[in-house]
Amino acid sequence: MFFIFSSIVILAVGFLVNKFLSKPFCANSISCKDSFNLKVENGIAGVFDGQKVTPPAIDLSQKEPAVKVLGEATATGEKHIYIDLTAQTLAAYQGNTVFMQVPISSGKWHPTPTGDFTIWEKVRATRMTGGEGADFYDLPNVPYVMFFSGPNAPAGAGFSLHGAYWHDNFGHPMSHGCVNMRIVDAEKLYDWADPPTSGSTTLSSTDNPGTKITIYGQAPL
Amino acid sequence: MDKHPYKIILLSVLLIAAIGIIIVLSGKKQQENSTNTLPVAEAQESQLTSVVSPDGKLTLTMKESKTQDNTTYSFLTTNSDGTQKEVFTKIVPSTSTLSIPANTFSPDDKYIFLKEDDSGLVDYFVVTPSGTLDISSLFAAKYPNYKITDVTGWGGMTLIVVNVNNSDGSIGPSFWFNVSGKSFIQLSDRFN
Repeated sequence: MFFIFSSIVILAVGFLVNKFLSKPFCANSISCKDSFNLKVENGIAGVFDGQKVTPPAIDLSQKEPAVKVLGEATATGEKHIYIDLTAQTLAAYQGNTVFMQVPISSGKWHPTPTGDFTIWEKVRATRMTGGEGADFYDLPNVPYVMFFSGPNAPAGAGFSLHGAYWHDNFGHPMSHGCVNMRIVDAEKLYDWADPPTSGSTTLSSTDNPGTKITIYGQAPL
Repeated sequence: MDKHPYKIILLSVLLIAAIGIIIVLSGKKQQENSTNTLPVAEAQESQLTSVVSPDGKLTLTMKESKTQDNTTYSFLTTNSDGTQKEVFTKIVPSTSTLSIPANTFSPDDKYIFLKEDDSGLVDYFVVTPSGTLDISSLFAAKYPNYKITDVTGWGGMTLIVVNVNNSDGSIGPSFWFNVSGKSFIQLSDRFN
């Protein structure tokens, strides 16, 4: 009897310790929620794949207003971003009009979640840090970050679409769960996607909802 | 006049035939001359391909000029202010084609890699400021039991992703080709 009671107590304590002390999953395991904040750090080197990387300098005062491209101004209907993990592509639509279709890099070291999501925050630049050992990465000035959340990925998990300056292997999985884009493509999507950009950090709200994202397929790992 | 009308008709026919033969022969001669006088080295501008770097700062353009036996490929970069710079030129036999892979630019725009296909024999090489590095021949010399199937892009500032098959045709591992050290690093993960 005593043995059974002791076992139950040990199991209960173990469960509570695990629940309250273990860290929730974050796409960027070290920086985690710090990545949600605007962070521009020019002149600081980054690390990826064991190599030193030079982040692009970001000047917040230099941002020019987004140029409307042909088709965009006339398109009507709901904006929606579709990400095909199998093909490693992103297609952005407004109604039935294709705004852009580009290659991406989804999760290699951690899977990109699938399902329906919404952009909840846009940040012009931030620092993302995570991994360990040879897989450690520390990337200042990650540009054009669009955090998304949904039933399969809470906002706190920090999944996002963003520009990537540390590799050029788009069309193939290369990330820790986020959706990497070429910087030129990420900028174009950032300027187009809702909520409409207002300053360096833009939060969605009930009155100003974020663009919906659907992620489907299976990455070729 | 009326005594020999057939003679007049015959003469007319002969005259017309002679004129016809002269016209045909002179036309043929002209055609032969024009073929002979066509400069052999005269090129035809047949293809122009461009790829923009991921940061949008450079555009790599390939120009292709064909002659009877060879094709000259020229590669130029254009920056945002329109300044052009020729970065690489290669003359290959007409059986070869050069192309720009989508992920040609290194992340810092310092290097590009290109693909050459000579009747199914594919060769990948990197263009650096100090010359070219032939990934395919360097790899074949070091790893004769593997065959390169694809070079997909840049995994880092100087690291090119090289996918290979085993000699029996089964899927092999992936490698980094480190441009700065001209060395290969076998990876534990396959980069598909």
